[in-house]
Amino acid sequence: MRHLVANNLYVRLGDRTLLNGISLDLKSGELVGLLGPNASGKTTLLRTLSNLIMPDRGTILLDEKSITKHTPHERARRLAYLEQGATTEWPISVERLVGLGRAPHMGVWGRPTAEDKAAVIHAMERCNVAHLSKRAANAISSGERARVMLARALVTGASILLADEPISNLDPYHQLRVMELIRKHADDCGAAITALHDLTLAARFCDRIILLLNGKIAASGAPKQILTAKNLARVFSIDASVLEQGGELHVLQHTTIEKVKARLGNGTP
Amino acid sequence: MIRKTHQKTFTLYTGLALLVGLLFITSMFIGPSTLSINAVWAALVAPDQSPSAIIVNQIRLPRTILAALVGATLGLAGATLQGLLRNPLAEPGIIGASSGAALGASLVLYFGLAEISILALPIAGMIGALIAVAMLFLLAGRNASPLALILSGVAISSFASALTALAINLASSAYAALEITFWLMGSLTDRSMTHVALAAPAMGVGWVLMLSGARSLSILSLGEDTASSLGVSLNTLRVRLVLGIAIAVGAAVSISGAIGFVGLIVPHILRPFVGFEPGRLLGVSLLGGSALVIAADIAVRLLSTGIEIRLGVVTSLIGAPFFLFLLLKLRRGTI
Repeated sequence: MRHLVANNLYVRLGDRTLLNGISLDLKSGELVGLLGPNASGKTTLLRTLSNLIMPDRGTILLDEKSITKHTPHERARRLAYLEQGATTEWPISVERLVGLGRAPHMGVWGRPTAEDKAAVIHAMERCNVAHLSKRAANAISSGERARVMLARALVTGASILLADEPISNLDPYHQLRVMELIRKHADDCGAAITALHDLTLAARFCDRIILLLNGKIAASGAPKQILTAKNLARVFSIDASVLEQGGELHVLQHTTIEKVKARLGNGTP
Repeated sequence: MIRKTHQKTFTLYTGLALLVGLLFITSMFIGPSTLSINAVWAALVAPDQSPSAIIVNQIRLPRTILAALVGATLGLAGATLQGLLRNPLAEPGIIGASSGAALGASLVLYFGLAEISILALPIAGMIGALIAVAMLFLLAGRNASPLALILSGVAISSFASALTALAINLASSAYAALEITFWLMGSLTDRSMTHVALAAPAMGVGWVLMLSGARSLSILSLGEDTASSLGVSLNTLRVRLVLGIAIAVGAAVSISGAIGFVGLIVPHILRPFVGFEPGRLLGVSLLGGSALVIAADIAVRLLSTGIEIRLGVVTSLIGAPFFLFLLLKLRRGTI
């Protein structure tokens, strides 16, 4: 089943084109890695897919219905958006903060049910933050906060997770752990698109890689086809080699294209 | 664990409700003439034409009810605004609702319309607040950021205050100028049950509009994008809350004049007791605001000997230093 289908999305801001004709789909069980240099449109794309930005052109189908036709709560029960560097303004306790993720299941005056409470505890345990439940969410480390925010996104019970750089603040252990959680989320019930900067982790965990450059899809497909030295040079302007060891890809980032060009320039006077 | 928080919330509500009740009863005994418990009780239960019944039912009761309602409105509006703007320094005065209402009421006094109908003052106050808020939306735009809202509010407030000052300046008689000036200081003296009947429904409508946004305000503490993704319609929420504030505060200010800083102090004191969650702060701030204004109005009556000290002056004398204290705390990053 195709959970999310985007067709020919254009987003303009002033005279800049942030998304330039993007089409993609997300099938059940899939984990898609969204890769690209800074300002290539990753965040804009995720925000557009989450209905936070209205595209100037193009359509998005969420579970076979236009995303704008869902009621806000209906949409929130199907699609969770994890903001990059999400934080909170007030020192709310971690437990309460995660609980706010149950909002799409409650009415205006409703109180949390036993099911809501169980979901909160489960999500905190999965994300390894249960021991922080009484702490103020703005007084914990940024790595802890990233996991708390992931718990907040998972607790919605939405099948689609759109995560914007969920591991950029984490230590190696928790990078793996969060990627495993997102992988498991896709395997269990849902599907996920996550923006990443770690090429090796993207190759290991994602079913599909989308390379984004200047608001366009530069390449899309299985990690082995997409993460090639040529593509990385074109999209990221880096000189990298891609090794395959034990069936896994390893991307070694050597140097910038500018340095390579300078070296070549010196060689041919 | 959850039961404990429920118990804590229940205890907090009960405590605040008892405090309001206690202050309310105390307020019935404060005034130039000393009345016994029996006299007050008799006046309330079986009102007759005796002087004590008239004092209780026509002077002290409306005054106290209005103090409770105006305080509740200001406390609730402050908590709502702070949640909406995600800024602990926000206050109903900031979005221009109070000064808009004050301008509306001042114009009524300036043109001497207050003598024509008792309704003129409150209606003009509400219209003033609504115009101020409509201008706020025109200035700040539909997708206003917190900063844009605050800046537009400051601009509207200043303009409304300037027009009010102009009205005082141009007032035909010294009496009219004095009337406006005194009214602006805020007071609950000489208010009747008619005032209560006039203001209460509007405040009630405003309260419901604000309280219905409680859950959304809590979610908004996760940031606008995340709140949107959780199903909060930000535009609807902003319109609903700011309209609620305008209606309730417009009604309150038109009855009592400007009573500053209540909306700033009350939410700040109560915030730690509700786990800093903006939505859960609303109900308790309503009760807290009620208690604070009744208490301040009692203080006004106890302190006044001869010349009446105005209620708004008392709350500002407490509130302004408190605002400075908050600013210092904010700079040190301890809020």
